[in-house]
Amino acid sequence: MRLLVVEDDPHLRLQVARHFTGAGWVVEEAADGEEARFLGEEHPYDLAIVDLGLPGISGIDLIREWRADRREFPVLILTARGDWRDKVQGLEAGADDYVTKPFYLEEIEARAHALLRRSGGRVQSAVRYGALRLDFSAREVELDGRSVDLTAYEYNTLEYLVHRRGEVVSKTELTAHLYDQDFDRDSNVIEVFVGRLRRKLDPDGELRPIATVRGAGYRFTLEPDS
Amino acid sequence: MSRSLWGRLLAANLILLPVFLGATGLYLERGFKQSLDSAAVERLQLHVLTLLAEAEYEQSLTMPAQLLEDRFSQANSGLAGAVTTPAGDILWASDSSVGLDLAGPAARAGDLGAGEHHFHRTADFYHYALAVLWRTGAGTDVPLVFHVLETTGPTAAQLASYRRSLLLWLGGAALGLMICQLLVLSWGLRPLARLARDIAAIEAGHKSQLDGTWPREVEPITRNLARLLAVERERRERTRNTLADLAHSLKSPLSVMRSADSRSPDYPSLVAEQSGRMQQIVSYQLQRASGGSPHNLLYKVPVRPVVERLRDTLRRVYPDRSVTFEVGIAPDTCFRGDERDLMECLGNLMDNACKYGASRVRINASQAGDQLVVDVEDDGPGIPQHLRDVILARGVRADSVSPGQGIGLAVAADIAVSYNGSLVIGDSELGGARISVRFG
Repeated sequence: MRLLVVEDDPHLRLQVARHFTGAGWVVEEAADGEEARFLGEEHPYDLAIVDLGLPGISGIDLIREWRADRREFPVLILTARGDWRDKVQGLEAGADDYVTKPFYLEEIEARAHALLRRSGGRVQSAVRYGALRLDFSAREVELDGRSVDLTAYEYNTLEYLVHRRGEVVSKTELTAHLYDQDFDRDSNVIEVFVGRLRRKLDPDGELRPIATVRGAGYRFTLEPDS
Repeated sequence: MSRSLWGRLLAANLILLPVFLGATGLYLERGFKQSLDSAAVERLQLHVLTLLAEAEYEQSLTMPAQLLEDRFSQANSGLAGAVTTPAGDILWASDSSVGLDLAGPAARAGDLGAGEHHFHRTADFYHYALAVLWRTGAGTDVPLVFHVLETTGPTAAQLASYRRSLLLWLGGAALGLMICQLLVLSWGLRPLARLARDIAAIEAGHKSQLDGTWPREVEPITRNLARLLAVERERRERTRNTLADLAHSLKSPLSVMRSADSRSPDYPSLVAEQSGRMQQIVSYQLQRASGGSPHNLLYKVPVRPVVERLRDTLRRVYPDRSVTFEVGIAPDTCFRGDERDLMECLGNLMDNACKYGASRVRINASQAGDQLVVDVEDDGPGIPQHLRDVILARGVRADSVSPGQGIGLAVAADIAVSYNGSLVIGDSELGGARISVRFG
């Protein structure tokens, strides 16, 4: 999952970025609204964390501009004042949730997961797809009740495909959401990851959770149990 | 000039006064001129009738050598008489007509019927002509035209002197009116000057209050200004208190951490605990400081839009909780004060109701005069009796707030109190808590 952190305090920005990088996210940072607006228009993020008190373009204006520009990724705002007018204005501008400073990094991560879940149309943090069970908070996958051992990249690939369940995801899109910019996009590493995932999730070849759509990309095929 | 009331009123006077007085002068002058003309007509008519009485006609026209009016006999007397035929042939002309051109006037009266008269004025003369049919002793009717001419010199002089005195009087009246207006203006605007002086004195610190009585038109300004000054004073006081409270209450956790042994294994948990306490203190004091000042009469904030904005925000924040909001607030229900305060107070109450309610949140408001009551109810577990007083008793000192407990209710109560109101915790018929907050 690709995350943009917009915060003018360098210490706080670094802490948040490190935390999410450690949790397997692809993180980019912006120190002011100008930079953030540019990045938001250039890259396909899955989530943005925006401090409201930014120099230059304020956090609220930034979100408004993104929304006016049809950038629909979920936005989590950080507010120092924490009064209701800030929260209401932030959410009216198009943000999806708020966290009041000071905060615990775990709290932000939990909110981030909740927002992703919402934008992916899921309600629970753990979802069962037939024999497969994904726990999005713990980043764990089970097959027939047994834990499946996945690398971080393999898990990220699976998570993104599940996030976009039912839709065709191109290799380019997968690359953009899962890896840093300096990643070599010509390599066939995606195919390798998907191949490995298939072997791990579907050793008998009966489940077929990931379908290849020729010339277009991949699609996660399983339906969640109701 | 338009930036000063004085300037505006003065400019209006300077324009209007000459217009009105000028129009009056013009009208009076015209009236006088008309009365002069009609007097001339009467006078000339009389002369013609006298000439008519003095004339004799047997074979031809004869006039007495000595006429009743001496001026007909004197050259340059300014009055001349003549008798002509309708064709313009001069039958008789007075001695005073020497040097006058009689042909022109005679021609003008040529087409008069018997008994008709003609009057007109040129630049120099009034001219009156009367056509008659003279029956001679022989029984024939002879058409004759009697003319009298009079110079306009004397009437022109009369008019000029009238104009001079008119100008003098009207000019004097304008000057007098202007002076009166200026006096009235300075008298009328004196309260504003006093207000400016008083405000300057307050700015300079010589005064702290606007006192005394004020005219009805200025009173709303002074009343609101006085209130604003009071609010400002209270806000300063409040900020000072908050800062003192904040500093005082932050010192205890700081000293706990300072005096702790940093090598002890408990140190990290102690720091975490104390920093949590400091966070509670800071956010509590911050919310308290941002809320509540009695701004009554300054703003009227409709309650319903604020509640609806908060409802929409909470729906986005708690999408997983399918809470139904029932908002029963009339569109004209208003809160007198700062919108931020209302939003902070109701935000805290509605947030709590969303958190603790099961599925229903009800918000009602009622207004009686300046008093506004808002009820926020939910169908959650409610607030136990013994906790109600504890929750409301705090808010005096921030360090009495124990971490983990929501401070929303205390902040809401603080805001209500700052608007001379109160907050009451009760039971809702929905099954949960009913928070009733009153302003004013």
